[in-house]
Amino acid sequence: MRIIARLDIKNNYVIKGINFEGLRKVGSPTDLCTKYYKDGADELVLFDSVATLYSRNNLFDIIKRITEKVFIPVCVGGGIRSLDDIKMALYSGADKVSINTSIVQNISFLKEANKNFGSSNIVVSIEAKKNKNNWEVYTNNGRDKTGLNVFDWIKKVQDVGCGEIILTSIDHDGTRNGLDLDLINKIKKISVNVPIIFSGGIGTVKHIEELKKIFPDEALALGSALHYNMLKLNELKKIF
Amino acid sequence: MKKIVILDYGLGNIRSLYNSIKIVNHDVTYFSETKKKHCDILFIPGVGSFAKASNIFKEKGYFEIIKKAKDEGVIIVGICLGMHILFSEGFEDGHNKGLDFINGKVEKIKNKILKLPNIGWKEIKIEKNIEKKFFDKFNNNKFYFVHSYMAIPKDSKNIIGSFKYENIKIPSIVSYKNIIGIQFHPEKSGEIGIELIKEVIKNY
Repeated sequence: MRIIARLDIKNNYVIKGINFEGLRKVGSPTDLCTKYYKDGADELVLFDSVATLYSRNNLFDIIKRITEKVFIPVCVGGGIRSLDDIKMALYSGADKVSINTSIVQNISFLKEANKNFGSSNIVVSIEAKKNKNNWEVYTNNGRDKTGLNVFDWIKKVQDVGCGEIILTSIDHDGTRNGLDLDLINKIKKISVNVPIIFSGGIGTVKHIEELKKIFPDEALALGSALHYNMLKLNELKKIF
Repeated sequence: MKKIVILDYGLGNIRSLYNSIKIVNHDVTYFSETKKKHCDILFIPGVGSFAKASNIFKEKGYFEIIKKAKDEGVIIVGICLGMHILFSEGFEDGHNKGLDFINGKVEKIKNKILKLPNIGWKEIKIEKNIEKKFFDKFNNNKFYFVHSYMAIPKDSKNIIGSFKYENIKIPSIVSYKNIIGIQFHPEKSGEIGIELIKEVIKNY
């Protein structure tokens, strides 16, 4: 399985909250990225968690510094809203961009992005929140409801085309109590033909085994479990 | 010290490749229509589509420039889409011409079991009886791939290493004379990837 280190960043600090709220500083992005690279992460995903809110992405300078010494794929997300933003991200040293809000607002932006940069480099980020027996797509780092159903939205974005989907459960994010298995089981039933990265809730090896039973070859993203040393990448790489 | 340039044709992440060559202590600069430079080794990076790359090459005159460099003995290293463009023709977004340095074509990976794009760290096998023995040490190592199209040389002798999955064999390193194509991203494959870049620069 692909094991990805996820770093949510605000004002030059890696931060982590629970359910996207109560954010706490956990370290410097360059230090943590270098550490996770040395420990054997397959990839890194960096999110600017306030970019959409403040209409900017502050990660490009950080990406430039990181990719001078980190030689694994780096994906950057948060506030990507134009072809120029994608170009800037790639020029800074990112390999992929992750986009949520601006695709929800305008699906043709996904088409344009694919056409110009190749769909392999475009990751659609989906923030899912459970609402009774269904899951709704949220944007703006868990702040805004969209009224879109997660499963319909997955089908839509894969029809338009994308390289990957990173799916974060807002309800489970930061809790380290396990992934949203109900959501993942439901996804298993619809046919998804692009790779999916599951994010939100992993705190133990058992949580990864639970995902592996459902999806043996998919990817997962770890945030707080790594930041708080509950899981170690070099050990995980021996198991998975 | 060998003089190395990276073709900057506006597609994709070229900074990582720059950084990875720099880290093995080589003189590296970018090359574009406005910044033409003499070199020993030319790297062609690239993400995007074959069609887009082919069009840019046509528009900016890179087909002629690179063909001339190749004829003068410059080592040409193509990575990912940069590898694809070394081939005669490609079928991504229509039918387009490549540099034709390696006889063969680029087409979509045909299979039912492998999700596309083929993303992640995959183990490659180096062929036996290859001319450049230094490749042997990369046998059974994992490198980072991300692609939906594959390059198929007409002459299988051009294949140095492949990624095999079930009944699929994806040429992952190809070479013909002073031309090298790499399907995966050595600049994104950690220490072993950097080692490959170092060895290619040293041994060609």
